[in-house]
Amino acid sequence: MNSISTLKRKIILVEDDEFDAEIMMMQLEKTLNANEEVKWISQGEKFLEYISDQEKVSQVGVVFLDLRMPKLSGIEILKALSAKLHKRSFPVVVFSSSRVREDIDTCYKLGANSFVTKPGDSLEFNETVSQMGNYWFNINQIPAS
Amino acid sequence: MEGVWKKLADNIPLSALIAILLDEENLEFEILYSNYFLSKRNGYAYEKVEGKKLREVFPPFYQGNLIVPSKMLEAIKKQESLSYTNWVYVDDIAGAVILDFTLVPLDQQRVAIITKNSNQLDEPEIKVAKQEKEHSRKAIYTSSWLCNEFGEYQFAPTYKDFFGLEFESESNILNEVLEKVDSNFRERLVFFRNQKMPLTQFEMVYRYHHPHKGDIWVREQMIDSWNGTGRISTVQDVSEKINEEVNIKGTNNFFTKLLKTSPDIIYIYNLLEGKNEYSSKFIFEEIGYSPKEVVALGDSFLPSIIHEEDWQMVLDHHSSTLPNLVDEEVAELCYRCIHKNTGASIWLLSIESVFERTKDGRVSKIFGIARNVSVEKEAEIMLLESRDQLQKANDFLQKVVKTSPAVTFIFDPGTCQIQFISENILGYSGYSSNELIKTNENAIRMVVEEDDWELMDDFMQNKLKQLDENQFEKLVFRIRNKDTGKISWFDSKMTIFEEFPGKRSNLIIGVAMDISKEVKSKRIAEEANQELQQFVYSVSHDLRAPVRHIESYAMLIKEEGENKFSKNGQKWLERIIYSARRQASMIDQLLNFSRNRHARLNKADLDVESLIHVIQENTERQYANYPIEWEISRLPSAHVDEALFTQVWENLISNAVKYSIKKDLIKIRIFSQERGEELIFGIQDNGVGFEMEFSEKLFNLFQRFHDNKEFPGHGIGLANVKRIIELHGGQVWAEGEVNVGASFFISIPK
Repeated sequence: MNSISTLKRKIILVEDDEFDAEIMMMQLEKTLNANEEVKWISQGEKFLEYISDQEKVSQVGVVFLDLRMPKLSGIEILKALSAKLHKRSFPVVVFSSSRVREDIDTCYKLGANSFVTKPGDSLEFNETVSQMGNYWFNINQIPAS
Repeated sequence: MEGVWKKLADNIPLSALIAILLDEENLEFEILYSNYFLSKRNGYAYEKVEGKKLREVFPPFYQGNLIVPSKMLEAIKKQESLSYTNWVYVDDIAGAVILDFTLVPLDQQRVAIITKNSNQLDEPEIKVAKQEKEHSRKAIYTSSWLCNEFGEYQFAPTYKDFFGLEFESESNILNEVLEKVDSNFRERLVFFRNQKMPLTQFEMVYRYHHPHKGDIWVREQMIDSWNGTGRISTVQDVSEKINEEVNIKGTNNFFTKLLKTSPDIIYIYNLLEGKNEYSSKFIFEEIGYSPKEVVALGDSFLPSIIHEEDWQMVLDHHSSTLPNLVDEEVAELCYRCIHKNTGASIWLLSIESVFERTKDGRVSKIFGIARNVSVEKEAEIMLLESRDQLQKANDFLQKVVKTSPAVTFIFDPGTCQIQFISENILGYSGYSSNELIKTNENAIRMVVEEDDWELMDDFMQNKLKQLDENQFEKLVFRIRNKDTGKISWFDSKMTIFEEFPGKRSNLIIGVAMDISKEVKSKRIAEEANQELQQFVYSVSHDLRAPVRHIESYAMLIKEEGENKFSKNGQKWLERIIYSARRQASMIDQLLNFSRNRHARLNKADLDVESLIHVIQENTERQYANYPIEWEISRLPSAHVDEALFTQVWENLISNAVKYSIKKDLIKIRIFSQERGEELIFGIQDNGVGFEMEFSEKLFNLFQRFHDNKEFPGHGIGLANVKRIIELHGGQVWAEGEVNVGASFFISIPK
């Protein structure tokens, strides 16, 4: 079971807010296929550690990255990723409550593939998360591991 | 009188008589001889007068201003010939007569009187002649000789003195005189002397180089006896008269022409009497007085025509300047006259010189030419006035430059030389204006902060060279104080320097304002704005998210376990969700409001009408169950920030619908109007309206007039509208009536 699950394509949630992460996971699981799963990582450092593992990184389908996190922020993570850009094959979607122009521009400059602002309204929030999952795994083609 | 002499005397066309003194005291003479000419002319036979008393035969000799017998006596006493010209008397037979006569003493008792009739005169001219006679009397000096048929000469005793010669022998006298006659006349004189001219009077005037007096003019009259054997000659010194005539003749032609053609007023002014003695006719053209009127007015002429403001000046001129003129010197005076008829002020320029002096050398008459210079003078006055104004403007500008907090400068962008810079540069740069003006170093680089050198060079190379007149370029640059290192920011405007209107130079004039404070406060504002963004970010993340979580989890509970709750429990769960949503919505709107407050406007032309139609469609979808009647006028474009202006209309339209929702038919009217430099938009509804006393409060933040159940809301929407419109430089206001409706207006600068 474990070996199978490790082979599944993964959505990585880098999100320090446990509640947001839980709500997102609940929404995403409704849309996911059998060979796909969500992995939540609550700290930026742990995410960088995670993707430094060759085997693990090969299974990353898409990363949903929060910006405002203690210690390593989303921007810093993007910087770290862009420094070794040639190795990254997975898309990174910034999912943050920020709608500040500067943040958006910076993220794209640092190689973010998408930027989605977290809706304030909970229903909208749920809807957005569902659509994101749908898009990135069902509509969008994920690069092969 | 004997033989030849009598014949001669009888036949000359001169009146001649010889008288003998009888009574010295009573001036009684007896006529010894009267020639034929005299007798005939006076209607007497010459025989009849001989032996008679002079007084009986020629009463006029004893009348008038010259008593002839007294002169006869004088001639006898002095033993000198005396001559008089232009002696006037009125003869019963001949009328008014002017005589030139010569008295020649023959011995201690006898005297010859030779008279020549010069003119018959008209009555009025007699006065003039009298005056002239007075004048010439003193100047004439005469002498004579006689030559008999044997060629023997007899010279009057005065002859030597007359010619200023010491004669060795009488035989050589005529040749000695001839040597001193001017060579131009000598030949002619010799010619006449050698002619025989019986009964013909010969007269010639020649110049004689007098050994003592210098050149004199001599009139010599010679007349021969009827057979040419005798001759009598008289000489007169006529220098004074000739010189006068020469002067007058020399100037006469010129004057006549000048007087006739000159557009100037030519005049003779008697300085002693204060009268114009002569004025050319042009005086009438210029000031309306005829020359006759001028003379008639006498010394009241000048006071009546000179402008009162110039009168004192003219008086001073007459009392100080003119009396001190030396000959050939010219005095000028410009003054105003009042035209007799029009009353206009005429500017005259007088050029005056000495015309005549009294015996003691005082200036008595002035010759003057006056020209109307009104046009030139007025132009000059205008020029002076405009110069005066220019000077005032200049003074004003200098004061402005001195007191202005702005740095004013003129520089040559080619050489980077500063031609002028206001003194306040010292405080900013540490250099005084004198140190910077026309220094050989690059003065601009001396004061401008090094980081801005490139900017400055580029500005001078590219922007300034293409400047047109009336255009200016702006530049913000920094100045560094060389002593303190303090940097000051300047906002400057520069343009082509015109030395005077129309004369373009290649200099640039500029004014620079110290904007250091503004730059600093702007930087502070920017920092504050960034902090605020951070704050907003925090709020949205930290405050907003928990609210959403409440809602989300409440929803999850509702989905999974609604049935496990009592009716109350279910209601309370709903209320948790409702409150969370309400708070979330409020936070969203506040965030929005806060963001807008510090928004940077991104203005562009926006088609307001299209925008409103889009919002209209969205609104209709949202309120699909409510009938809405729209009345939307043609609306102009507006220069606004599209995103913010969209918020404004979303707010206004949703309000209009919201507060009219209880009506059977919601009526929304949207219209616009141009007012001066503003565009005004309005929206009118038929809703609950409001009381006018609250019309201003409507736009306050969190201000509500209805409870949340009746009309949900947070009291932020209109505050947001107001803020956005004010950001655009416009205004908002509202009109309303309870239960009739409300109208909201916004104005936007065009």
